[in-house]
Amino acid sequence: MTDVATIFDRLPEFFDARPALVRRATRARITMLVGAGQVSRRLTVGSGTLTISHADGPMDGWDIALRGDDTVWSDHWRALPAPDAADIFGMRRRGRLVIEGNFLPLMQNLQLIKDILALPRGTI
Amino acid sequence: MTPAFEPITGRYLRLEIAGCAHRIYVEEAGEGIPILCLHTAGADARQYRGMMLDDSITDRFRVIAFDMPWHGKSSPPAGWQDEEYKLSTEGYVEIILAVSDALGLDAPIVLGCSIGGRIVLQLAADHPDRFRALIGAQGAAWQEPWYDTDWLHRSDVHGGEVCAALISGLVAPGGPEADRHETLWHYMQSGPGIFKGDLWFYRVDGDLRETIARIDTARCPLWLLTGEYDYSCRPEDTLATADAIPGCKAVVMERLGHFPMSENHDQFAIYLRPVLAEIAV
Repeated sequence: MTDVATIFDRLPEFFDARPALVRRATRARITMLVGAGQVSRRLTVGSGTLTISHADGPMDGWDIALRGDDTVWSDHWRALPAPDAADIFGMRRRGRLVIEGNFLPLMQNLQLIKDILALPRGTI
Repeated sequence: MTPAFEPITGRYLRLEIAGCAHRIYVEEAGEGIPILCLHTAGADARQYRGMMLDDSITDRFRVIAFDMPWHGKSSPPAGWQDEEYKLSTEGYVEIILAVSDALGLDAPIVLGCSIGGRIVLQLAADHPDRFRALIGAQGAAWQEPWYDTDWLHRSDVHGGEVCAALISGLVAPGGPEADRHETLWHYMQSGPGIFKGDLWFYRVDGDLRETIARIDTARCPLWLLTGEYDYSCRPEDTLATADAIPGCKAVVMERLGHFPMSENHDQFAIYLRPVLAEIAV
Protein backbone atom coordinates (compact mmCIF):
# COMPACT_ATOMS: atom_id res chain seq x y z
CA MET A 1 0.00 0.00 0.00
CA THR A 2 1.28 3.48 -0.92
CA ASP A 3 2.25 5.58 2.09
CA VAL A 4 0.40 8.78 2.85
CA ALA A 5 3.44 11.03 2.23
CA THR A 6 3.74 9.74 -1.33
CA ILE A 7 0.05 10.39 -1.91
CA PHE A 8 0.31 13.93 -0.50
CA ASP A 9 3.22 14.58 -2.89
CA ARG A 10 1.14 13.43 -5.85
CA LEU A 11 -1.71 15.87 -5.15
CA PRO A 12 -0.44 18.50 -7.66
CA GLU A 13 -0.35 15.80 -10.34
CA PHE A 14 -3.93 14.74 -9.55
CA PHE A 15 -4.98 18.39 -9.50
CA ASP A 16 -3.44 19.25 -12.86
CA ALA A 17 -5.27 16.30 -14.41
CA ARG A 18 -8.65 17.87 -13.50
CA PRO A 19 -9.22 20.95 -15.70
CA ALA A 20 -12.54 21.76 -14.02
CA LEU A 21 -10.81 21.92 -10.66
CA VAL A 22 -8.03 24.11 -12.07
CA ARG A 23 -10.68 26.46 -13.46
CA ARG A 24 -12.52 26.65 -10.14
CA ALA A 25 -9.24 27.42 -8.37
CA THR A 26 -8.46 30.46 -10.52
CA ARG A 27 -9.14 33.00 -7.79
CA ALA A 28 -8.51 30.81 -4.74
CA ARG A 29 -5.62 31.59 -2.43
CA ILE A 30 -4.99 29.46 0.64
CA THR A 31 -2.20 27.52 2.30
CA MET A 32 -3.15 24.40 4.24
CA LEU A 33 -1.19 22.18 6.54
CA VAL A 34 -2.29 18.57 6.13
CA GLY A 35 -1.09 16.01 8.60
CA ALA A 36 -1.35 12.26 9.17
CA GLY A 37 0.42 11.19 12.34
CA GLN A 38 4.04 12.33 12.01
CA VAL A 39 3.69 13.13 8.29
CA SER A 40 2.77 16.67 7.27
CA ARG A 41 2.84 18.80 4.14
CA ARG A 42 1.95 22.38 3.18
CA LEU A 43 -0.51 22.63 0.30
CA THR A 44 -0.76 26.00 -1.40
CA VAL A 45 -3.53 26.90 -3.82
CA GLY A 46 -3.02 30.11 -5.76
CA SER A 47 -3.90 31.45 -9.21
CA GLY A 48 -5.08 28.08 -10.48
CA THR A 49 -2.07 26.13 -9.26
CA LEU A 50 -1.53 23.64 -6.46
CA THR A 51 1.94 23.25 -4.98
CA ILE A 52 3.15 21.08 -2.15
CA SER A 53 6.09 21.52 0.16
CA HIS A 54 7.52 20.09 3.35
CA ALA A 55 6.27 21.69 6.52
CA ASP A 56 9.27 21.46 8.76
CA GLY A 57 10.76 24.92 8.21
CA PRO A 58 10.90 27.21 11.25
CA MET A 59 8.69 29.89 9.66
CA ASP A 60 6.49 27.82 7.33
CA GLY A 61 3.07 29.33 7.95
CA TRP A 62 -0.35 28.22 6.90
CA ASP A 63 -3.94 29.46 6.97
CA ILE A 64 -5.62 26.31 8.16
CA ALA A 65 -4.42 22.95 9.42
CA LEU A 66 -6.19 19.61 9.02
CA ARG A 67 -4.49 16.94 11.07
CA GLY A 68 -5.38 13.44 12.15
CA ASP A 69 -3.82 10.11 12.97
CA ASP A 70 -1.86 7.81 10.63
CA THR A 71 -4.99 6.38 9.02
CA VAL A 72 -7.37 9.30 8.68
CA TRP A 73 -6.40 10.33 5.13
CA SER A 74 -5.98 6.81 3.79
CA ASP A 75 -9.48 6.06 5.10
CA HIS A 76 -10.76 9.25 3.44
CA TRP A 77 -9.25 8.12 0.15
CA ARG A 78 -10.93 4.70 0.04
CA ALA A 79 -13.13 4.24 -3.02
CA LEU A 80 -16.14 4.04 -0.72
CA PRO A 81 -15.11 5.69 2.55
CA ALA A 82 -16.85 4.70 5.77
CA PRO A 83 -19.29 7.13 7.42
CA ASP A 84 -16.56 8.34 9.78
CA ALA A 85 -14.14 9.14 6.93
CA ALA A 86 -16.26 10.51 4.08
CA ASP A 87 -16.01 14.26 4.75
CA ILE A 88 -13.57 16.58 6.51
CA PHE A 89 -16.22 18.03 8.82
CA GLY A 90 -17.62 14.57 9.47
CA MET A 91 -14.15 13.37 10.40
CA ARG A 92 -13.85 16.39 12.67
CA ARG A 93 -17.22 15.68 14.29
CA ARG A 94 -16.24 12.05 14.79
CA GLY A 95 -13.03 13.17 16.51
CA ARG A 96 -10.74 11.90 13.76
CA LEU A 97 -9.52 15.23 12.41
CA VAL A 98 -8.52 18.51 14.02
CA ILE A 99 -9.20 21.58 11.91
CA GLU A 100 -7.72 24.81 13.24
CA GLY A 101 -6.55 28.18 12.02
CA ASN A 102 -8.20 30.88 9.94
CA PHE A 103 -11.51 29.47 8.72
CA LEU A 104 -12.28 32.35 6.34
CA PRO A 105 -10.25 31.16 3.32
CA LEU A 106 -11.44 27.60 4.00
CA MET A 107 -15.11 28.59 3.96
CA GLN A 108 -14.61 30.87 0.94
CA ASN A 109 -13.30 27.89 -1.01
CA LEU A 110 -14.88 24.99 0.85
CA GLN A 111 -16.00 22.73 -2.00
CA LEU A 112 -12.79 23.32 -3.92
CA ILE A 113 -10.71 22.34 -0.90
CA LYS A 114 -12.86 19.31 -0.13
CA ASP A 115 -12.47 18.20 -3.74
CA ILE A 116 -8.68 18.73 -3.70
CA LEU A 117 -8.27 16.79 -0.47
CA ALA A 118 -10.39 13.93 -1.88
CA LEU A 119 -8.47 13.75 -5.19
CA PRO A 120 -6.66 10.50 -4.31
CA ARG A 121 -10.01 8.77 -3.61
CA GLY A 122 -9.98 5.31 -5.12
CA THR A 123 -6.30 5.37 -6.04
CA ILE A 124 -4.98 3.45 -3.04
CA MET B 1 -45.08 14.95 -31.43
CA THR B 2 -46.39 14.42 -27.90
CA PRO B 3 -44.62 16.57 -25.30
CA ALA B 4 -42.64 14.47 -22.85
CA PHE B 5 -44.24 15.91 -19.73
CA GLU B 6 -43.57 14.17 -16.43
CA PRO B 7 -46.65 13.14 -14.41
CA ILE B 8 -46.03 15.96 -11.92
CA THR B 9 -48.28 19.00 -11.69
CA GLY B 10 -47.20 22.25 -10.12
CA ARG B 11 -49.53 25.06 -9.10
CA TYR B 12 -49.62 28.12 -6.88
CA LEU B 13 -51.83 27.96 -3.81
CA ARG B 14 -53.16 31.16 -2.24
CA LEU B 15 -53.70 31.01 1.50
CA GLU B 16 -53.15 32.82 4.76
CA ILE B 17 -50.55 31.63 7.23
CA ALA B 18 -50.71 33.24 10.66
CA GLY B 19 -52.84 36.05 9.22
CA CYS B 20 -50.43 36.84 6.40
CA ALA B 21 -51.22 36.32 2.70
CA HIS B 22 -48.96 33.80 0.98
CA ARG B 23 -48.62 32.29 -2.47
CA ILE B 24 -47.22 28.78 -2.05
CA TYR B 25 -45.90 26.60 -4.85
CA VAL B 26 -47.22 23.04 -4.63
CA GLU B 27 -46.27 20.01 -6.72
CA GLU B 28 -48.02 16.66 -6.73
CA ALA B 29 -48.27 13.32 -8.48
CA GLY B 30 -50.29 10.18 -7.96
CA GLU B 31 -53.63 9.26 -6.44
CA GLY B 32 -54.72 7.73 -3.18
CA ILE B 33 -53.65 8.35 0.38
CA PRO B 34 -52.08 11.82 0.57
CA ILE B 35 -48.45 12.16 1.66
CA LEU B 36 -47.49 15.73 2.48
CA CYS B 37 -43.72 16.02 2.04
CA LEU B 38 -41.51 18.55 3.83
CA HIS B 39 -38.17 19.56 2.31
CA THR B 40 -34.94 20.16 4.21
CA ALA B 41 -33.63 23.50 5.45
CA GLY B 42 -32.43 25.82 2.69
CA ALA B 43 -33.89 23.68 -0.10
CA ASP B 44 -37.27 23.20 -1.79
CA ALA B 45 -39.85 20.67 -2.95
CA ARG B 46 -37.76 19.50 -5.91
CA GLN B 47 -36.13 17.12 -3.45
CA TYR B 48 -39.18 14.84 -3.76
CA ARG B 49 -39.12 14.41 -7.53
CA GLY B 50 -37.90 10.83 -7.23
CA MET B 51 -40.92 9.89 -5.14
CA MET B 52 -43.28 11.63 -7.55
CA LEU B 53 -41.84 9.69 -10.47
CA ASP B 54 -41.97 6.32 -8.68
CA ASP B 55 -45.04 4.44 -9.93
CA SER B 56 -44.79 1.94 -7.09
CA ILE B 57 -45.58 4.85 -4.75
CA THR B 58 -47.86 7.06 -6.85
CA ASP B 59 -50.09 4.10 -7.76
CA ARG B 60 -51.40 4.11 -4.18
CA PHE B 61 -50.42 7.50 -2.79
CA ARG B 62 -50.92 11.14 -3.74
CA VAL B 63 -47.46 12.61 -3.19
CA ILE B 64 -47.60 16.35 -2.47
CA ALA B 65 -44.65 18.64 -1.78
CA PHE B 66 -44.63 22.39 -1.34
CA ASP B 67 -41.97 25.06 -1.20
CA MET B 68 -42.07 26.65 2.24
CA PRO B 69 -42.47 30.44 2.26
CA TRP B 70 -39.13 32.09 1.34
CA HIS B 71 -38.05 28.87 -0.47
CA GLY B 72 -38.06 27.76 -4.10
CA LYS B 73 -40.97 29.31 -5.99
CA SER B 74 -42.78 30.43 -2.82
CA SER B 75 -41.67 34.03 -2.58
CA PRO B 76 -41.46 35.72 0.79
CA PRO B 77 -44.53 37.71 1.87
CA ALA B 78 -44.80 41.43 1.16
CA GLY B 79 -42.47 43.42 3.40
CA TRP B 80 -39.82 40.71 3.52
CA GLN B 81 -37.06 43.20 2.81
CA ASP B 82 -37.29 44.59 6.33
CA GLU B 83 -37.42 41.22 8.06
CA GLU B 84 -34.74 38.76 9.15
CA TYR B 85 -36.02 35.32 8.26
CA LYS B 86 -36.14 32.94 11.22
CA LEU B 87 -38.17 29.74 11.25
CA SER B 88 -39.73 28.99 14.64
CA THR B 89 -41.32 25.79 15.89
CA GLU B 90 -44.71 27.45 16.17
CA GLY B 91 -44.42 29.08 12.76
CA TYR B 92 -43.35 25.84 11.11
CA VAL B 93 -46.35 23.98 12.53
CA GLU B 94 -48.65 26.79 11.35
CA ILE B 95 -47.29 26.49 7.81
CA ILE B 96 -47.87 22.73 7.66
CA LEU B 97 -51.38 22.87 9.11
CA ALA B 98 -52.36 25.82 6.90
CA VAL B 99 -51.16 24.13 3.71
CA SER B 100 -52.85 20.85 4.66
CA ASP B 101 -56.12 22.68 5.36
CA ALA B 102 -55.93 24.82 2.23
CA LEU B 103 -55.45 21.68 0.14
CA GLY B 104 -58.41 20.05 1.91
CA LEU B 105 -56.36 17.00 2.88
CA ASP B 106 -58.07 14.42 5.06
CA ALA B 107 -55.66 12.81 7.52
CA PRO B 108 -52.57 12.88 5.33
CA ILE B 109 -49.30 11.15 6.05
CA VAL B 110 -46.56 13.70 6.67
CA LEU B 111 -43.05 12.81 5.53
CA GLY B 112 -40.41 15.34 6.51
CA CYS B 113 -36.64 15.36 6.20
CA SER B 114 -34.08 17.07 8.44
CA ILE B 115 -35.96 20.08 9.86
CA GLY B 116 -39.00 18.29 8.43
CA GLY B 117 -37.94 15.13 10.25
CA ARG B 118 -37.73 17.16 13.46
CA ILE B 119 -41.09 18.94 13.11
CA VAL B 120 -43.02 15.69 12.67
CA LEU B 121 -42.19 15.07 16.34
CA GLN B 122 -43.96 18.31 17.25
CA LEU B 123 -46.92 17.29 15.07
CA ALA B 124 -46.98 13.90 16.79
CA ALA B 125 -47.03 15.56 20.20
CA ASP B 126 -49.65 18.23 19.52
CA HIS B 127 -51.74 17.16 16.51
CA PRO B 128 -51.74 13.36 16.34
CA ASP B 129 -55.38 13.08 15.33
CA ARG B 130 -54.91 15.20 12.23
CA PHE B 131 -52.55 12.73 10.57
CA ARG B 132 -52.73 9.13 9.44
CA ALA B 133 -49.03 8.58 10.16
CA LEU B 134 -45.82 10.56 10.51
CA ILE B 135 -42.44 9.74 9.01
CA GLY B 136 -39.29 11.61 9.95
CA ALA B 137 -36.27 11.15 7.72
CA GLN B 138 -33.03 12.33 9.34
CA GLY B 139 -35.08 13.29 12.35
CA ALA B 140 -34.21 13.52 16.02
CA ALA B 141 -35.49 15.55 18.95
CA TRP B 142 -32.13 17.27 19.19
CA GLN B 143 -28.57 17.07 17.96
CA GLU B 144 -25.57 19.04 19.07
CA PRO B 145 -24.45 21.83 16.69
CA TRP B 146 -21.32 20.96 14.70
CA TYR B 147 -20.60 24.29 13.00
CA ASP B 148 -21.28 28.01 13.34
CA THR B 149 -24.26 28.97 11.17
CA ASP B 150 -22.92 32.54 10.81
CA TRP B 151 -20.75 31.19 7.99
CA LEU B 152 -23.90 30.64 5.93
CA HIS B 153 -24.72 34.32 5.49
CA ARG B 154 -21.96 36.91 5.48
CA SER B 155 -20.70 39.36 2.91
CA ASP B 156 -17.23 37.84 2.48
CA VAL B 157 -18.37 34.27 1.75
CA HIS B 158 -20.63 33.30 -1.19
CA GLY B 159 -23.80 32.04 0.49
CA GLY B 160 -24.95 29.62 -2.18
CA GLU B 161 -21.52 28.07 -2.58
CA VAL B 162 -20.82 27.66 1.12
CA CYS B 163 -24.28 26.23 1.90
CA ALA B 164 -23.86 23.60 -0.80
CA ALA B 165 -20.25 22.87 0.12
CA LEU B 166 -21.10 22.45 3.75
CA ILE B 167 -23.93 19.99 3.17
CA SER B 168 -22.09 18.12 0.42
CA GLY B 169 -20.38 16.05 3.09
CA LEU B 170 -23.78 14.87 4.32
CA VAL B 171 -24.55 13.13 1.01
CA ALA B 172 -23.48 9.48 1.08
CA PRO B 173 -20.69 8.52 -1.33
CA GLY B 174 -21.47 5.99 -4.02
CA GLY B 175 -24.92 7.26 -4.99
CA PRO B 176 -25.91 8.65 -8.40
CA GLU B 177 -23.58 11.55 -9.22
CA ALA B 178 -26.29 13.54 -11.01
CA ASP B 179 -28.59 13.33 -7.99
CA ARG B 180 -25.78 14.33 -5.61
CA HIS B 181 -25.04 17.42 -7.64
CA GLU B 182 -28.68 18.36 -8.14
CA THR B 183 -29.15 18.15 -4.38
CA LEU B 184 -26.25 20.60 -4.03
CA TRP B 185 -27.70 22.84 -6.75
CA HIS B 186 -30.89 23.28 -4.72
CA TYR B 187 -28.75 24.66 -1.88
CA MET B 188 -26.85 26.95 -4.23
CA GLN B 189 -30.19 28.47 -5.28
CA SER B 190 -31.48 29.19 -1.80
CA GLY B 191 -32.13 32.84 -0.93
CA PRO B 192 -29.57 34.72 1.17
CA GLY B 193 -29.79 33.78 4.82
CA ILE B 194 -32.62 31.28 4.33
CA PHE B 195 -30.68 28.15 5.24
CA LYS B 196 -29.38 29.92 8.31
CA GLY B 197 -32.90 31.14 9.16
CA ASP B 198 -34.28 27.61 8.90
CA LEU B 199 -31.59 26.41 11.24
CA TRP B 200 -32.84 28.81 13.89
CA PHE B 201 -35.59 26.23 14.37
CA TYR B 202 -33.11 23.38 14.29
CA ARG B 203 -30.47 24.93 16.54
CA VAL B 204 -32.28 27.32 18.86
CA ASP B 205 -36.06 27.08 19.00
CA GLY B 206 -36.65 23.43 18.20
CA ASP B 207 -35.18 21.45 21.08
CA LEU B 208 -37.91 18.81 21.35
CA ARG B 209 -36.35 16.55 23.97
CA GLU B 210 -39.12 17.38 26.45
CA THR B 211 -41.86 17.59 23.83
CA ILE B 212 -41.46 13.97 22.75
CA ALA B 213 -42.63 12.78 26.19
CA ARG B 214 -46.16 13.75 25.05
CA ILE B 215 -46.12 11.58 21.94
CA ASP B 216 -48.63 8.73 21.89
CA THR B 217 -47.93 6.50 18.90
CA ALA B 218 -51.21 4.68 19.49
CA ARG B 219 -52.94 7.86 18.26
CA CYS B 220 -50.61 8.38 15.31
CA PRO B 221 -47.91 5.92 14.19
CA LEU B 222 -44.40 7.35 13.94
CA TRP B 223 -41.38 6.16 11.95
CA LEU B 224 -37.87 7.58 11.96
CA LEU B 225 -35.55 6.69 9.06
CA THR B 226 -31.94 7.89 9.11
CA GLY B 227 -29.07 7.41 6.68
CA GLU B 228 -25.85 5.94 8.01
CA TYR B 229 -23.69 8.65 6.40
CA ASP B 230 -25.47 11.56 8.07
CA TYR B 231 -23.10 13.09 10.60
CA SER B 232 -25.47 16.01 11.31
CA CYS B 233 -28.47 13.98 12.44
CA ARG B 234 -26.49 10.85 13.25
CA PRO B 235 -28.05 7.41 13.51
CA GLU B 236 -27.38 7.51 17.26
CA ASP B 237 -29.33 10.79 17.51
CA THR B 238 -32.34 9.22 15.81
CA LEU B 239 -32.11 6.00 17.80
CA ALA B 240 -31.92 7.93 21.09
CA THR B 241 -35.11 9.77 20.13
CA ALA B 242 -36.87 6.57 19.10
CA ASP B 243 -35.86 4.87 22.34
CA ALA B 244 -37.56 7.67 24.27
CA ILE B 245 -40.88 7.29 22.41
CA PRO B 246 -42.79 4.05 23.08
CA GLY B 247 -43.97 2.52 19.83
CA CYS B 248 -41.75 4.64 17.59
CA LYS B 249 -40.08 2.57 14.89
CA ALA B 250 -36.58 3.54 13.77
CA VAL B 251 -34.49 2.28 10.88
CA VAL B 252 -30.88 3.14 9.99
CA MET B 253 -30.62 3.20 6.20
CA GLU B 254 -27.47 1.96 4.49
CA ARG B 255 -25.69 3.91 1.72
CA LEU B 256 -27.70 7.06 2.44
CA GLY B 257 -26.94 10.42 3.99
CA HIS B 258 -28.94 13.47 5.03
CA PHE B 259 -31.01 13.80 1.83
CA PRO B 260 -32.26 10.28 1.11
CA MET B 261 -35.14 11.23 -1.18
CA SER B 262 -33.05 13.46 -3.43
CA GLU B 263 -29.54 12.00 -3.23
CA ASN B 264 -30.62 8.43 -4.02
CA HIS B 265 -34.36 7.83 -4.25
CA ASP B 266 -34.05 4.20 -5.36
CA GLN B 267 -32.08 3.34 -2.24
CA PHE B 268 -34.46 5.36 -0.04
CA ALA B 269 -37.47 3.62 -1.55
CA ILE B 270 -36.15 0.26 -0.31
CA TYR B 271 -36.82 1.52 3.20
CA LEU B 272 -39.83 3.74 2.51
CA ARG B 273 -42.01 1.27 0.61
CA PRO B 274 -42.48 -1.18 3.53
CA VAL B 275 -43.38 1.72 5.83
CA LEU B 276 -45.96 3.02 3.38
CA ALA B 277 -47.34 -0.49 2.89
CA GLU B 278 -47.82 -0.85 6.63
CA ILE B 279 -49.52 2.53 6.86
CA ALA B 280 -51.86 1.74 3.96
CA VAL B 281 -53.20 -1.47 5.52
